[in-house]
Amino acid sequence: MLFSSSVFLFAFLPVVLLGYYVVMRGMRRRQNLFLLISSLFFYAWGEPRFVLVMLLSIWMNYGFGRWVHRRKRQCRYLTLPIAVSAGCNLGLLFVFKYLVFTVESLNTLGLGLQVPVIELPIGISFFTFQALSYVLDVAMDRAEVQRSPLDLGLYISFFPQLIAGPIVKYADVAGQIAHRQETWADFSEGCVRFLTGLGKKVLIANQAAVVADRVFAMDPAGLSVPLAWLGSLCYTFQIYYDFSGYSDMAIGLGLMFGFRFRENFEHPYAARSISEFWRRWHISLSTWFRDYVYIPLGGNRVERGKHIRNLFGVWLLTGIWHGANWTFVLWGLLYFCLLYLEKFHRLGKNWPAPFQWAGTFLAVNFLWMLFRADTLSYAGQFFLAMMGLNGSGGDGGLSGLYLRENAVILALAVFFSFPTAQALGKAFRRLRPFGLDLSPLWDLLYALGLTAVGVLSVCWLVKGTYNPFIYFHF
Amino acid sequence: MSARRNTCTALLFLTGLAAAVIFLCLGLLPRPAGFRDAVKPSPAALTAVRKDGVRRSAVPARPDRSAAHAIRQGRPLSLPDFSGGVEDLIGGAEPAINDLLDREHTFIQLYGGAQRLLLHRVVEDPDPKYTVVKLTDEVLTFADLNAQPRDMTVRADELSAFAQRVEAEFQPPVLYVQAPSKLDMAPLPDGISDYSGAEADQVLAALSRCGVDTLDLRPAFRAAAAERPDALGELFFHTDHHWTPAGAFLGYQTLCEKLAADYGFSLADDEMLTDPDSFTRTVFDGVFLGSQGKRVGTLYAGTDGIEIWSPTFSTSFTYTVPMSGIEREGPFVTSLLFPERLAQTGYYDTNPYTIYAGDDYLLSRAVNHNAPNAPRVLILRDSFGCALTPFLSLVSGEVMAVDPRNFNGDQEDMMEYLRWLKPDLVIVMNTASSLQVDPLFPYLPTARAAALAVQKQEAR
Repeated sequence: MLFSSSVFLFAFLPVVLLGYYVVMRGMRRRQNLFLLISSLFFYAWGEPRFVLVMLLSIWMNYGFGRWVHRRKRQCRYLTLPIAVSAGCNLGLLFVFKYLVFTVESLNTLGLGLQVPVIELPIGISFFTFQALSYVLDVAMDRAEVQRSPLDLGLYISFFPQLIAGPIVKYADVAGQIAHRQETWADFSEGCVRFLTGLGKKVLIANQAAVVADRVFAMDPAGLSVPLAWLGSLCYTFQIYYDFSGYSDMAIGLGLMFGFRFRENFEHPYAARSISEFWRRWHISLSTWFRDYVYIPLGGNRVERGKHIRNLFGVWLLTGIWHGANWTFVLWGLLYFCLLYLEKFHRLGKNWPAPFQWAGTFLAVNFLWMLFRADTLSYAGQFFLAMMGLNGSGGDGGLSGLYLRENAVILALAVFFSFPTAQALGKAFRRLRPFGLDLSPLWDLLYALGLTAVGVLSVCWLVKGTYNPFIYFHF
Repeated sequence: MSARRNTCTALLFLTGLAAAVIFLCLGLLPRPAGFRDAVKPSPAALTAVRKDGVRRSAVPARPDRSAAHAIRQGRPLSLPDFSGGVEDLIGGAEPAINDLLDREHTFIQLYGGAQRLLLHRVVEDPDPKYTVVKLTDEVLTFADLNAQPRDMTVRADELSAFAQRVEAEFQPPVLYVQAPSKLDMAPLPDGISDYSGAEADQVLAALSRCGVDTLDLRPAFRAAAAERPDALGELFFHTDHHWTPAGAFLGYQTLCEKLAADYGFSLADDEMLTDPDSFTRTVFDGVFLGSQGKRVGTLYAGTDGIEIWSPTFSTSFTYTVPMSGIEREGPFVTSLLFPERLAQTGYYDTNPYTIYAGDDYLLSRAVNHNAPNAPRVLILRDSFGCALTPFLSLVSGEVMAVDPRNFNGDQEDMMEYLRWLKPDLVIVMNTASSLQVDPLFPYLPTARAAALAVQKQEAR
């Protein structure tokens, strides 16, 4: 089930809100049980069979958490339970996500192994990392062990962040499971975030996707330079608005039920360095790797060689986490190279700010192209097309057509990529023409505008237009 | 964040959500029956047709798609069917809810309005074949942005073989008529390609090489476009893919020249029957939202009017549709046309184009009492035939129109149909885009096999 679907908006969400706030009002344990059942139903709607995998993960990690807690009480080393927990969780992820890729890659060496047929459960990368976060937070004394399997199940399977994040660390929400306070302020803020995310996803991401998917479906040998660039830029905006839109909806839904999750995106395309980009993009993933891989390995507080090793390990894993394909591995490693150059050779440090921004954006754009490509070979040919080195001529007016048809959407995509809307809002609120306070007018316009975004989004959904979701496959 | 702003937004959000849920629930309640029940064929017509002492079974398992095939039924939209299992429920829930939400078509209207505000000339559709593109003059057309050129050799060869078989076995000549499309009069925007014209050229050339007579109506329409800049909007509906009655009349005039010159249709030479000034034309503005318009709404597409052409000279016809129990007698306008359909309302529930000939029936027969000795024509046609066949009836003794999409047999069955109907001339008429539609050619082996395979897949 997608958030941007009529089934979710007009069937699932109203029922869950009614059940939570009307039927179960004031009964926390029942509310949590209700949310757990709703979340499992939400997951089962899209993956009827794989809800068993989810239940296995909950049961498994509940046991690991208790094991770690028992060992801590006995003042024994935690290496074994952590290793087993990591092995089982990552093993589950490996079987469903990476086994086929591994066998196929080995077969290219001539091994002739039988390739298994395994479907990928939606969101397995997200809920596996969340589950692992619970065990590690208990082990690192960042949170108490969860004695209720139902509450742990709620943490792992909670529908707002189940299939596409943000990856919520257990320590951040442990106290909220039993002791959160639902307020109208949070609920209304959640509505605003949800509508914002819905508009980003349906009105911008889905429209950019139409162009991006069409361009990336073409033979790159025949792509003109404008068409290749248009396709890659559309994908750059698609992936941002798709993912950040979904995160906004997830955070908004969490707020509606009294949970406060951390931000996952902070206008990443405004970054002026790769380091800054990754402090603004998919923050929950980068902080997960920082807290559970990079820092335990020593982070940057070790000698240079180990520091580089730590960076390499994190970015290799980041690439692998995103998908079972060599393109993702290369994507991660190229980010490692850029970060290495920034940290150790001060790449871009002395450039004027506009060049820093342009260099960062171009690098990110090229790497999204690699991320999107199905194979390394395709990515290479697409890169040549972007450079005008593929020998292709014109595109019969196709790039002009796509640009004309999507000019408004692209302009909005660029505009909202930067914190300009917020800056304009603040400036508007400070206006005092003839001494009048215009902030009520701004608030009303904002509310009406966001409602219009919601209505238009529903129009697009009902019309049944193009509604893919990229991070679904992670 | 401003608490006031958030409160306003949240209240509007919750109100909208509640309104949508109530609206959905109301949609599940039973509603009074509508137009479809009124045009349901009589039971007698659906059982058997006695002809020449030979009892024939009712048509085919495939139901005759009456005028209401594009019309929403006057019954409540139901919940997804549980009988197909959980997967069917899950798969069917989203479209069912969208259908319920948009039963008044408000969302399609708003969607089209937004597309207009965004200055889009191309409105994408989930089915790429139905992407709506705006040509000049605000005239709409369908375009497939993923279109690739197709080799029509097999279709052309099988059509030629069929024509030669008909001529050999029954002697009535076969005339292939290539109907025009909007793209013969106006180009698509840069960047969008359409290959149907070239495919039609390929079929015409192949038929000619095999000695099958052909008539291409497209040059007449191209000439009209060259002469008058507003010809496109006059000869084709703005919001529908069909030609207007004026466009059909131009096709009829061009066809009459051929029939008079090569097939001995003496009436086709009668200027009174082919002069547009011999007809009164009554325009009904703003009554029609066509196939393209229904996908984008009136805010984007606007609406069309429709003309009722009425001969000023005396006419007398009997028009029967055996499988639908329709039998109408009288002059041109009240027998071959269905002007009473103008009384129906609702852009999304009506199809005024079917005022001409009623609909795409399996078989309709128009007997011209003023020309009992004139040649009898059987026309295998797509929906462009609806507007053409009434005019063709003026110069024929009888016009028997067959929509092959409703014909459930194969070539042998079609030959039996021809033996039964005994036409003096067989016309096969299609638009360029229809040449790719396999269900329109069940009497050709490859097309029939492809159509049956698709049917089997859909049934699964």
